[in-house]
Amino acid sequence: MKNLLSVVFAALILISCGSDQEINDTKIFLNFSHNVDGNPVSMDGLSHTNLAGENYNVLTLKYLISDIKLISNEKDHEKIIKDVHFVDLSDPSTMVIESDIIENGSYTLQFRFGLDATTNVTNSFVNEIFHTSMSWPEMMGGGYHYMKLEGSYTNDSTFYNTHTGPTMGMDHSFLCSFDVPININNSINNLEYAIEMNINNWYGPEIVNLEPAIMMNIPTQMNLMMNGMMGVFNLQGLLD
Amino acid sequence: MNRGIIILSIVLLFFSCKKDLIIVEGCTDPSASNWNATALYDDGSCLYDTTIPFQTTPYNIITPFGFPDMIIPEDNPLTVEGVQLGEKLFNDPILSADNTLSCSGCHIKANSFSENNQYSTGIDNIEGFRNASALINLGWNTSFNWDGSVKNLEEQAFEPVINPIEMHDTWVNVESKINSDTIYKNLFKKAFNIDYIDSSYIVKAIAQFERTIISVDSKYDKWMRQELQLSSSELNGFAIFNSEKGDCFHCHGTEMFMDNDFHNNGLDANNFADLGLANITNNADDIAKFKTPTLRNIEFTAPYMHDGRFTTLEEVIEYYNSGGNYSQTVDPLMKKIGVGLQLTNAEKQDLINFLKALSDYNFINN
Repeated sequence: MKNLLSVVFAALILISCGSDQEINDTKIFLNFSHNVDGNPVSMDGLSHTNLAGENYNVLTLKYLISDIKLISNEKDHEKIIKDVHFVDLSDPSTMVIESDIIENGSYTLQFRFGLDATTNVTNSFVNEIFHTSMSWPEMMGGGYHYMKLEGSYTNDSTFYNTHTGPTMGMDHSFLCSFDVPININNSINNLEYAIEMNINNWYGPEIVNLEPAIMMNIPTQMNLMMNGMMGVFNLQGLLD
Repeated sequence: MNRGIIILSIVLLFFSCKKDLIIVEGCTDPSASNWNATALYDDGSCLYDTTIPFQTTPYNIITPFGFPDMIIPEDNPLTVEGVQLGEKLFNDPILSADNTLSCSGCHIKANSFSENNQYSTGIDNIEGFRNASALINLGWNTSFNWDGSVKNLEEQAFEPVINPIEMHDTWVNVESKINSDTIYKNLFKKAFNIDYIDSSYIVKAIAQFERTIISVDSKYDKWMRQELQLSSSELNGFAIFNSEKGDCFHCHGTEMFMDNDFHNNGLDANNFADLGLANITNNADDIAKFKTPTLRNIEFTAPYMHDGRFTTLEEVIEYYNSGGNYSQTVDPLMKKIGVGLQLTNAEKQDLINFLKALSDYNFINN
């Protein structure tokens, strides 16, 4: 009996010590920011110029990212941060994602721009705030827009609508991974990162012109996807 | 002869008086313990068994295909009793100062609960300055009124009663009138278990009724349910509507045919008579932005736009076909200001035919 008590007592101490090493309260905050070649996004005038030499401004920017997760550098586990997130430049409440507590380890951040084909189904997000503003008509493939980027070009009263999405059911979403290591250990609390979008990079290196209607233009959708994969997004660590 | 006439008059008077005397007054509420089935007029004598716990009957909303869950405040769940009471209030001119104008006076069922006058006229014969909105599928709206001035139906119902160009009453007076009415006293007791009726319960009941005004049985809906086929013209209109050719869907998309958002669709270049959303937000970026109306039942809700400036759907389509006017807050979805959609006459007619396929005749007739 005395031996049994000793074993139980030792086991309790062991479990207690192990627990202390793993528990932390570290969260990750992902802040969304947007620029045009490093300059603030302008709604006035036509102060931005794309690779095709077209001048423009930005009046609307809404987009979806999905499957936002941390992948451990040992590749042995993943931590899903959020399934789908809607960013609206006009709504500050959409500009940050707060994770749950992340266990210690070294991670890489990954997300998908848009929704993949299995997720992007008409009416599958009816209760989400983006349902009405981002829906993509069934007769053009159904589901939801990935992005609505709109503004003036050429003159104030001519508008471009760079709308990306699943044209005729094609999956133009893409993965974004970042080499920035995210190290979480007991000595730190929360970590903040900025997910930066350089809007001008949507329009090059594959030349994409500003046009009023591209939802059914598959080559343009493909070019936007390739430009997106080549470096529209960037991840920056932010100091406390 | 004169004597005979006098005698006849006395006899008639006698019978007339006797008839008055046989009118039975008493409790007319079947749920009361002293209900008098022969009573024609309620004399306020109803008694209720207070040992029975307060209980209401849940009113279940069936979410239509492609609609989100309805937005129902936790403190105002739908009940059969509340909805019936709300309908009675909606149709009762008791809410107006001179007891002549009800909610249904300006929100007429045949017009999908809008009205076909450009502006509504209040009890003082003063016209408003916006067109009465259609009141359908409101439970899925996240804001109300053309300028989005209120965020829920309860809050909205407070406003017309005291608006000087509408019902021009006071809530103190309305409460007094309602509390003096034994039928309302009983109905509120059954719906909310209250003895004194204050305005918050009046608007709760109206909001409950309004949430049940659901219209999703148009020809389009039947087509979606594969119960019938749209005509080739309607199908072509559907294709124009849902492509960037007509580009209606960006604001009037989903099964709700609205986006719960605000847009400046270029109606005016400048000198705006109505600042719309900017009146509420005091933000210059919101000038001339108005809430997107649903296009369901659009055939019944003429005239069109926030100020009812267009009397026919043809005028509306022609407006978009010509591209509208530029102003600083005009929506980029308007794309080609002054140029427009450039639809052919046949395409315009197809689009109108599709819009008319959104008409729910069962809704307005039953």
